[in-house]
Amino acid sequence: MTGKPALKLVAPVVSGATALIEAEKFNVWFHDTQVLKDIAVSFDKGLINCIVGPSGGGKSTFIRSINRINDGIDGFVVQGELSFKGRNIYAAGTDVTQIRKAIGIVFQKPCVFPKSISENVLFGLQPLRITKLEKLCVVEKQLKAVSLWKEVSHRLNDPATSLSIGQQQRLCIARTLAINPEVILLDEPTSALDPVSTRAIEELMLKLKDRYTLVFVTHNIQQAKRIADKLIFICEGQIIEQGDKDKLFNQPEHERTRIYLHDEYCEC
Amino acid sequence: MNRNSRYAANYLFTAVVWSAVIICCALLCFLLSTIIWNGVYALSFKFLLSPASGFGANGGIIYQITGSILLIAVTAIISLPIALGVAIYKSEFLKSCRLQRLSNLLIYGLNGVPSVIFGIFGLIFFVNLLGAGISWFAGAIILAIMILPTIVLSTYQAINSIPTIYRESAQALGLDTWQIITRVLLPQGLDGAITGLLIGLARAIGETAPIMFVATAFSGVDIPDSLNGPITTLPTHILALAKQATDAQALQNAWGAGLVLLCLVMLLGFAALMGRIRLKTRWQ
Repeated sequence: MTGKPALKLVAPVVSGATALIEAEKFNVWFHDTQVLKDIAVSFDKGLINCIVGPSGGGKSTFIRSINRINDGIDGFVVQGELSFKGRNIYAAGTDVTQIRKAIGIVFQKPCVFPKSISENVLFGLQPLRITKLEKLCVVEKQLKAVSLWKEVSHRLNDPATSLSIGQQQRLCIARTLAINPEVILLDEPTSALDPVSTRAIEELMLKLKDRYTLVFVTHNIQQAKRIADKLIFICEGQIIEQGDKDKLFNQPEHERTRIYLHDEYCEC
Repeated sequence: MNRNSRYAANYLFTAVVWSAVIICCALLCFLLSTIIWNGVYALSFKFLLSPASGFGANGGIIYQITGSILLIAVTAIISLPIALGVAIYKSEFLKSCRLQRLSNLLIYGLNGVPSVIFGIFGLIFFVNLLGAGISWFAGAIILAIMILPTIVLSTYQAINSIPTIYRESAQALGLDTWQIITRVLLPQGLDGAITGLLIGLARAIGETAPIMFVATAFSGVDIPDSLNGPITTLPTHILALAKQATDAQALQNAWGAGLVLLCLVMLLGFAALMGRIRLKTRWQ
């Protein structure tokens, strides 16, 4: 919540769009530094869209731009088209809170509020508009969806901070699911987790991909190999290559893609 | 610097630091023990629960205690919402660096104004300009203005110490600015506000200068029945009794009133400390 960004906007509607989220010539600057250059990509439903690339390449900036979390950063300027269901996310008059409810985001470090487990699940909902029974149903449904119900059902009123980091991250995903988004953006959600918790999150992604459009940022190549359907390789703010995971791993068109995906090293 | 010199410098510095601590503690102990030693003889149920008589030299301090508590209670009611509003505006809406610096200058400047200046301001503004006469409510407003910077700074620090990720997580769930303020920032900032309020009130309850021209009378006053009219407080009563220091009974009553005032201040300070500890542990 720092400063209203100066937004440069182009056409508000992307005609004939079929993908849920689509970017076309999308550019981002922080003050004078351009961090995303001519991004053109689409994210379809039912797929795990995995964005990979070296640190500082613009992966997080891009997905944070999708649900307009970057709006609060001083000097943030966008240009080009970034659309959700055919409508430009950055069009004048867009209801930002509705965009954020439709496009949920899970951050790198799990951030639970200093409240109980059940209150955290319900945090994004209007607490006065649903009954106690409805609240309990939502809590149970979402905790089951992230496979956390068995572990915490007997202590829903315990502080959420008492959970392990892996459990907290799953709770954050449950909290995002509770607001009923159509797209879930995951910004390196397993980078702070141990292998067991990482595995749990990956299995959860595979379970959720039929119901949601998932955009998953990682710099772990093996993880991308395990769970991605579509792979997008971003380096120095540009999409170097994108497409089917197997194609990018086995027959990359660009040398930089091959080097990064096989040697996990990129001299961009 | 050789090894022996380093050891010597280390011992010297340790000795200076310990001396400072001991001097501070000794002064505090001397002050407290003097007040307790002299004041405890005056304390009795009769002294605490009966009104003063003979220009305060006789009787108790019931009206002074209730007057002080009433004054700081109204001060709290006036100052807390204003301070919360200022702190939230400063933290969430005031984005210009130049205006931030200006607001800091004003707040710290207000904090540094001597208390007697507030008294003079109250005299000129409320008594002379508005013609309000002696009004305890005007005194509460003056005290509220005086402690405003303390509460604003404490609340602002509490809100500013909330990690950005909490704001972003709330934004990501589709909460608007007002919901983020009421559901994330205020619950966490309230501890800081209350801590600041209690520190401010602890200062306000002991002040004489800001209210003596505007709100208080030295004798013949009970509990006010309207917003206008004078009030009597512990600090002004102590001042009145100290002027009669040749009377042994008046002097003893002054020590007793001082001890009661000290207890009230310590009570507020203890509550502030508990609030701060709670604030610290909440975010850990």
